[in-house]
Amino acid sequence: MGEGTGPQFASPDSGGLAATLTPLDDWLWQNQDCESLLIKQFGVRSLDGYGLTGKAEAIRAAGSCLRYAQETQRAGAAHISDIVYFEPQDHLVLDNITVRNLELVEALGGGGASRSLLDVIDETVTGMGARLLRSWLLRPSLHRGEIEQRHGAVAELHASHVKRDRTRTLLKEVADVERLTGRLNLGSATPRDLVALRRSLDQVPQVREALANSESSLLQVLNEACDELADVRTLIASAIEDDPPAKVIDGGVIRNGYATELDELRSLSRNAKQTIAAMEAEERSRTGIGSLRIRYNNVFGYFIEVSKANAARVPPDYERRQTLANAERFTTTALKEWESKVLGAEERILQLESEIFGLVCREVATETSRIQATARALACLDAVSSLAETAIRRRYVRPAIHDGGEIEIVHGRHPVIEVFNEEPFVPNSVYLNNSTDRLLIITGPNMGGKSTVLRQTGIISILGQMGSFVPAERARLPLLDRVWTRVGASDDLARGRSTFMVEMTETAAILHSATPRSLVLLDEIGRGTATFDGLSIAWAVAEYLHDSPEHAAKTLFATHYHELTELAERLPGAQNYQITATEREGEVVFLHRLERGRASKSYGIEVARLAGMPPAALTRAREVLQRLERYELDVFTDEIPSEPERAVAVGADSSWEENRALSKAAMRAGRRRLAAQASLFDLANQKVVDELRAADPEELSPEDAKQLLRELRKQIL
Amino acid sequence: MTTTNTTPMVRQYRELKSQHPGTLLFFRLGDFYELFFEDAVIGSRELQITLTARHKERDDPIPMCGVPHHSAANYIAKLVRKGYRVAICEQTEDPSKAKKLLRREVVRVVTPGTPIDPQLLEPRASVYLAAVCAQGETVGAAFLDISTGEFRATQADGSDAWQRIAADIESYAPRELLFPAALTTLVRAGFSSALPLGEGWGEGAKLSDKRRRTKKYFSFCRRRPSP
Repeated sequence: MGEGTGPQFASPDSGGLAATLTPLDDWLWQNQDCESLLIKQFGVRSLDGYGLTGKAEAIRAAGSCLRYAQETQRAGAAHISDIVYFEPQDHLVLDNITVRNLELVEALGGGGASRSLLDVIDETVTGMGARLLRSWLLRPSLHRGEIEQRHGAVAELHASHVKRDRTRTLLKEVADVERLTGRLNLGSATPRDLVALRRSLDQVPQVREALANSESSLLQVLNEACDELADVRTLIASAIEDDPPAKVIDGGVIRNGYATELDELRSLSRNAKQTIAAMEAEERSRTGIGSLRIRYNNVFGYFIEVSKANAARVPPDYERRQTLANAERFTTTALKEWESKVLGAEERILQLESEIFGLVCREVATETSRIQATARALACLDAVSSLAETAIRRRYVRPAIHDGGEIEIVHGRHPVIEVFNEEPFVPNSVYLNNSTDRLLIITGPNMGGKSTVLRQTGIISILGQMGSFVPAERARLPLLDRVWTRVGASDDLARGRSTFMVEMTETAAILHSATPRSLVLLDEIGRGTATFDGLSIAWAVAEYLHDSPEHAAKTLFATHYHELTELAERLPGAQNYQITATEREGEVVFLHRLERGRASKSYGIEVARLAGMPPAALTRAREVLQRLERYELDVFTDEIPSEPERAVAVGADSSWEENRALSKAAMRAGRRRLAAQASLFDLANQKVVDELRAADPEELSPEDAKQLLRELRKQIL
Repeated sequence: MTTTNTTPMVRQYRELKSQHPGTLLFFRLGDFYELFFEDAVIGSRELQITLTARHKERDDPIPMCGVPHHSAANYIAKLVRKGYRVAICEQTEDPSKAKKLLRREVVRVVTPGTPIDPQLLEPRASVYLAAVCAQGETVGAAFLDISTGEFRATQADGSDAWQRIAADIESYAPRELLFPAALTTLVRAGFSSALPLGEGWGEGAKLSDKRRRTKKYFSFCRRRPSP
């Protein structure tokens, strides 16, 4: 196949990387070269100031990026003026699967109706503000101080609508200064870019005024970081027209009065009309031909035109250029000289404008660092004021961030669904800690809202940690190191590969890497395979996460396996919750409310009835269900939890109260309910028993009896 | 593929091509940019333009396709969006001072990780170029957004270093990843342990001796499309 297929990227479904891979020769990765390149680029003596001391591999990677960028552009790229070193995963880690499942930046399922979280919370008015907000969302902070600083700025803008509106009005006039500066340094800035830069910087003094007397430390910092750059503004204002054309080669870019040579040439060109009129008048009086005209076309340039009748009266210094039916066209030396001066001026004007524009660009570019500092401050201001605007519009509250392990969300809402739902959204409260409530098993009818509760818990945690307010009545949030979201395999057969395999691979990753500071959201795990397999796996995964001291993350497990509610009886850190539904006049009504306890029925058959399944099938389903419920499966009667082992899996931050509650829970788990022992085998054999019961020996001939016996023997498992 | 009738221009083309392996070479000919040989086949397919040939009268005509200079930016953007690297080669001499063969130079290489053209940029999302390298158990990575100058770097040590760095790379979602050729196998393995890999990476590290010897300050390996 070879050449025929072109570049293939890793499928986004798998959560892998979709990028062009570019191997570079090994010898280009020398540490010395990379280091010198960076030092030269930043104009410093050493890279210590950037935290890169002793970080040889980081330096090599950075140096190679820089060299590659310079080589491909064949330019110095002076706007790459510094570098930030960060520790790996120095933020709340969200892998691609989680980003996709929680629909943080992109909605699943096409169609214009679907919205992502970013669609709802992004009220930024500049491109650079939008990019910064997006990076806060994808990599929320792990540092309490930083998060609270952002909350403080959002709170101040949230409280004062004057300040907020003023800030946003000013920011609307700000262009994407970051990208503009990039174009400036790469030689591709246009006249309109410079004007946009000037207009953007014009807002800065007023922005600073709006931010003056701020209480929030972040707003104060932003205020100071804004450089008014009066010199750059003045330069651009004096040199560039207010409304220039798109390209410098179109002319009309440089203001009058900025460059003498240019002014003179322009004057010459502009006066052409008057000069023509004057020359025309002069020639008319000289020759006495009243109808003489001086005209211009692309072929001959300027020429004197007289009618055929007057052609004989022209003076000897007229050179004939063209003969037409009714006219003759001439030129003179004087006309020719003047023409070349004028036309030469046009060309020279364009050339000069281009040169001057280049000089202005270069001069502005020398202030790149100052411009970038201001741009970053404006971007940050845009991002926090966007968060404040969203908080007002959507009625969010400021969450409290604490160093402990508890997640406490009171009347939380899903920020996307609540906006686009037709019915009013039912808020729900969630509580998790690292001891008695670290594993929440959620059961209840499908479409009842289990998934929503899971997702909104994840999303609220992420919003809080990125510095945003949250959709809830109240919230107390810990610093999570990771949020995992896994959704059970769906029936998407079109994919062609084992989606259950993918589900298992994804889930395995959690079991290897989750920590007590992680939040795990499992939605119908185990669905993609045979019932017993799936149930066993789901059970084992939940237990593993509960028991393992290193990996005991706070976990929300939404499941259709009713059997898992058993876990809450045996595991001291597990609790049962259910999404409630009720029957009203024979109809199932989903209440979408999360309550403690296990769901009493699965409502599956009711949903089937609502969906229009034939009554005969429904009746049969109810019969089978009765049988199954009578011989309730209890595969776990042999398992006796060992209380001392269970109690070990507690977070390091547990208090005396938590320990006490834990021991109590462990004792409760010790009192197990004994259920009737039955197995699937007994259930199948029940059918044989029923048939035997139904057969009447008096009615059967010996042959028929033998036949029945043979058949029944075959059916016995 | 050698022929006894290689013209000076073809020799010039081959020389430029060998200096920029792994790219599609847009070769300026008058008012057009032309692609030749295997580049022409790819270009014709990806851009939906006619594949023709040069020197049809000879035994070994050269496959060729081209785009007009004034609309080239759109075609280049289309290729780069699909993941290709495009080297733009201009005539650096005035054709009116015509000698036999005009001088030509590659003036710019447009790659997925280093976009400047607004067509290749999204206003509300960053585009990153990333690099990763390793020495023993220490793995380093860097991220650069060339449109704004945003530049970050990190490093991890220990047995899980690759996994941690891979998680950060996944988060930044770069459009292009640089790495030392020697690490090719490791890069693939490092990523598949942290992330399930999809089908086909579409690249290969085939360093030919010739390229090594040309001693260009900068060169990168041919990408081999996956079967």
